[in-house]
Amino acid sequence: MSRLPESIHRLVEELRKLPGVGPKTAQRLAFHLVVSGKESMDRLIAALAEARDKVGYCSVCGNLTDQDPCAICEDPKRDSSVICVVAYPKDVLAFERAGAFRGLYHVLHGYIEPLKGIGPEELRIQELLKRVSSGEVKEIILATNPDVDGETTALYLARALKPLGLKVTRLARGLPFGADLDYADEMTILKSLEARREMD
Amino acid sequence: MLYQTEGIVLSSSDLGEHDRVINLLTEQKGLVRAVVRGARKPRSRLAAVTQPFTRADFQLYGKGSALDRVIQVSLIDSHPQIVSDYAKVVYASYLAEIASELVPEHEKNAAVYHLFTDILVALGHAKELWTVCRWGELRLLGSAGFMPLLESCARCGRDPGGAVYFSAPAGGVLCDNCRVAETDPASAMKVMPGSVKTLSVIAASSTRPNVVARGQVREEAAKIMREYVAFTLGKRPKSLALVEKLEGEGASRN
Repeated sequence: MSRLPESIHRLVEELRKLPGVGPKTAQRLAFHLVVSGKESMDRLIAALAEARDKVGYCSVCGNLTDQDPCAICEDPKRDSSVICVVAYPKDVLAFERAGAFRGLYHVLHGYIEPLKGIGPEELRIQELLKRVSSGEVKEIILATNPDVDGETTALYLARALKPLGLKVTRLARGLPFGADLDYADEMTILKSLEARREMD
Repeated sequence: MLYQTEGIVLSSSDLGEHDRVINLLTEQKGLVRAVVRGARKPRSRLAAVTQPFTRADFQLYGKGSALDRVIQVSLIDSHPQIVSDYAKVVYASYLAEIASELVPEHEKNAAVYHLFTDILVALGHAKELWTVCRWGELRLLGSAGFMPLLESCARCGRDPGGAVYFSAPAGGVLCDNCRVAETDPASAMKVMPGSVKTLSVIAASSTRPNVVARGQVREEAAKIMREYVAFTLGKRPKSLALVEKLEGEGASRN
């Protein structure tokens, strides 16, 4: 690495800080960028600068946005009586891709993770409680991951929200679409049986 | 080398795009860190069994390097009573953190493994979580040779009498004479005999103790254990703040 020109070395070091990028990948990306030409690099620099200057968090839902409040919170066609609580902005994207949800979102920015010392205070839970106190919200959908951290966070939220008289629901858990029963683990089978429903 | 062992997932963290690293407390090899390839893919057969507190039969492959590899898993108990209760998850995380600090990697310690299995079962069935937590702390520390001396003075061995002090550096209770002779007498805290007695009864129980502590005794016994755990591990467990919050809420109800 020390034989690299100093400017490329710095670029590699910065790229290495990105999630999922190891030293080899960082080096490959750096070389690619350097040889891709000035125009291509200028576009990347401009895109990075624009994201840095324009993107922030929505003051209502906490999602990433380049306008405040975000386009979803501002949309009059969305059902403001239902809030879907997710852990990260990428989860909002997953719901929007599916296109089936017409309510609003609330992004917590993480999970309660006792082993990492992350408690409820580190998440945007107070903001959620403040948001629902307006009286307009009737249902909260807890859409955290179906794992221990997601479940722990959902349990905490349910405990905090239920006394407010809201309908608190949790996403169903079970077999993913296209799964093979023969290969499903015991926990998934158990949860699928618990969440079974009558055919229409 | 391919090997098979029963184990409990103490914690897990993401690795790369699709993998997960788990910290396993095993029956045959003590603490094992292992990678579970593809555990975060939606259709992974190993996703559910890599969740904390899952007890399973693991087939692993290890070359003596830092990370072993999980090949196959057969679920024994996913402890649904724990993962469906916020307070139980917090306590189980705290006790898992203590276990992972006390057990060395790749050194067989079947006794601690079976003890932790019992602790999780007790936590799953318990209503009095405070007692199970104290029992877990004491028994885990005891299994590593750090059981605090609670019935006699840790220095002179005599009955401490009416004025009882607890000193984490001394490893238990001190009588007034020995406390004064300590290099830092102020580090020993004066405690009620009832708090020490409660911990002593809990520590002596080989199965889930049937003890209910209330009021000041409950608060003080928890404080003693918090101090002793932090001193013995050389650091404050990360999950302790959430345990303190829970016990603070509990104290206001008692």
